[in-house]
Amino acid sequence: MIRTRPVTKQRCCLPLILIALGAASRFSGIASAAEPDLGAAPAFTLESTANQSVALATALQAGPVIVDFWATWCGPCRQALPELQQLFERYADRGLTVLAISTDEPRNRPKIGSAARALGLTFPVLIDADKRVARLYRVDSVPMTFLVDREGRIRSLHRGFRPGDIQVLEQGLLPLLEAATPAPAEVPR
Amino acid sequence: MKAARRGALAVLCLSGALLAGPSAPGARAAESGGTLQAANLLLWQAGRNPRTEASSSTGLFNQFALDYSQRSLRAGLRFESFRPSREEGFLPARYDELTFRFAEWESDGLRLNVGNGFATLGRGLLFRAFELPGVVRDAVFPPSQYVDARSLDGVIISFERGAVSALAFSGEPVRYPDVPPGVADLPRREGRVDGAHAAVALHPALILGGGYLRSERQSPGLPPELAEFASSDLTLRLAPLAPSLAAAGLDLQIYAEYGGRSWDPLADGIDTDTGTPHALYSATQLSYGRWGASYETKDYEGFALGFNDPPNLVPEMPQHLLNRMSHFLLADGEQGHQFSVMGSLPHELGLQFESARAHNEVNGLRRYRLDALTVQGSPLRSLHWEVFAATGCDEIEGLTDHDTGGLTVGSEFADGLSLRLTAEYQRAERTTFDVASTFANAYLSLACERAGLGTLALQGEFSDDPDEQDDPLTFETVEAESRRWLGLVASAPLYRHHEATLFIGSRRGGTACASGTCYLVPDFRGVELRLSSRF
Repeated sequence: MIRTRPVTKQRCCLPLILIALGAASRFSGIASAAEPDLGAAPAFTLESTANQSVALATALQAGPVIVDFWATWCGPCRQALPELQQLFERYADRGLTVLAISTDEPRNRPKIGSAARALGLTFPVLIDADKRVARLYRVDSVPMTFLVDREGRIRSLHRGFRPGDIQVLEQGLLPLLEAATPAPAEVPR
Repeated sequence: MKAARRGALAVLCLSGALLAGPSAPGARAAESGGTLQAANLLLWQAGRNPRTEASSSTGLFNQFALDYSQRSLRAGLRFESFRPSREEGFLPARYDELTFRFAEWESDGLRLNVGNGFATLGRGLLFRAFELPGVVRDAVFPPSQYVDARSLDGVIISFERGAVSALAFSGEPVRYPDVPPGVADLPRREGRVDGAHAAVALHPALILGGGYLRSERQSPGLPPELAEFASSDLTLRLAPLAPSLAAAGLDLQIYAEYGGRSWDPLADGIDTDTGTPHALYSATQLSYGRWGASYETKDYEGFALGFNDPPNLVPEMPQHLLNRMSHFLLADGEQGHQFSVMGSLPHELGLQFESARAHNEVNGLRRYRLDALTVQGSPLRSLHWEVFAATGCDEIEGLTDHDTGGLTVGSEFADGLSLRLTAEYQRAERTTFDVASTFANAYLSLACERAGLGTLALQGEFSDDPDEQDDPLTFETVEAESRRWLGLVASAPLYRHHEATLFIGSRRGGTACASGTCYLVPDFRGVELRLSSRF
């Protein structure tokens, strides 16, 4: 026998209350009370589309790193990457490194290099074919963008892409750049 | 039932406490230098699948994941639960299960994973254990929800140093990914696989590899079913051979892999006869300047193994109407190819062309075709547009023809505010029981976004597809009216550690594809809240 249960008002309201609580704390200034820090960025070494081995630790020697998880089939990713390229061009000489990690399956690997070239990316595009690094960073959607300071701490993370998001990212990046002294370490592409 | 309600509320309250609690310090650095990370994914629904359920109910899915890492060691687990407000039939839909646990050690190119893990032999012709991150699957029978992780439960060891790489594994694969956890009579895992792959770079421009897989399947009351598979693969790169061309921006890479059942590479050679179970895949990638092209081919015969996942060579289009009309690969007998071009034109124009052809002979000859052109531009810094046009057919889905087009326009305003309008239209022809009918699908979306704050979107869809018109819950009548779906989506980051998405309304089901893997999404009408958190 199939039993049915009407949707109760209490159940409908509970998630909304949770959102409201979260939103209230967001705007009440609690978030800014502590220094933004979302934990240590897991270390990784991946192969780039240029067949170079690229390590996060090497990139951090120069300054802050933006780690962006993307995929060739993801429309918002293709919107975000050219803007990340512009950000990279603006601050590369101040130590910024952008690492774009493709989470494409091996089946899509032939398209990764093509997409990177078409988008005019000059920063390293890395291949995380078995999604191991994506799991380390708990990536549950793409694009997902992490800002990592030179000490290797995650200072912000962002899911999805909306126009203007890069400007928000830039606001978080600027204080890190000011504290950074670019090292001569060169990150292979 | 009371217990189910208590469990659901307990999880909600736990999430609420995490959500509204004080500023979390992020990863907890233990005194010993280890790092503990936690993540939670909560999905709450109140509503129904209008095609299968006459009345509404609620469902609460939750996945809690914990990871601990210290130097070369990592360990973690995922605990999933599902709480429906009602349970149907003899198969329980509610479950609490430790769906994923692992320990991993890595040092100097050597990695050992014990428990649940992921591995792919070559491009997946013989074996592929993987997951669709963040995708919560909806099972219709029994009604349930779960994260689609098709992991291997066993041991995986891999090694990479210099010109040599190797992988070996042994364990139980997920053979039935459409079965949700917690259903005792319908196991997700069955049998055992042991496999290995080794590759060596004979020259920076030439890599040779070989794979082996042994499968053992044990069905109750039957003798073990044993099978052996082998593969060879080759990678060619132009850049090491012609550095001057590479410096000029020209690059060429070729990959080819052949797999066979009970295959002896030296004695059997590359056999692509129809009667020989085999899988042959090739990929050629050419790029020059800001242009790139790829050409891939497939020839699969008797190779739907249950634990493999060969490349399907079906363009994965982000456009709504095309993504929901994709093509399931039938690796028991499918041949075809895919050609892609991507590039940039002057005046900030971007171009992408996809062309794919396939034919399948598993149950009569059926063809698949898609040609799609997408052009994007940004005439002004604050204005973006994208248009696409596509034509194709998929006889496996009964679609003998379809023409699809669409436009997206986005504009940015002051203070990070932006608007995006998407309109798509499709004219299609479906043949059911030798009767052809022409129908239309339309999709409209208007999204308002504020950088750093969130998105509010209104989505509407229309269809007079004869397959959609009849309400299967009204047995006595056959409806002939067109159907409409209307939904409101709001998403926002909350308090640094959370991302919430709220859906209200109705949405159309169909085939959804992510990361090269397609799955069915049922219709839904009601309210849905998705909350992703990490600490």
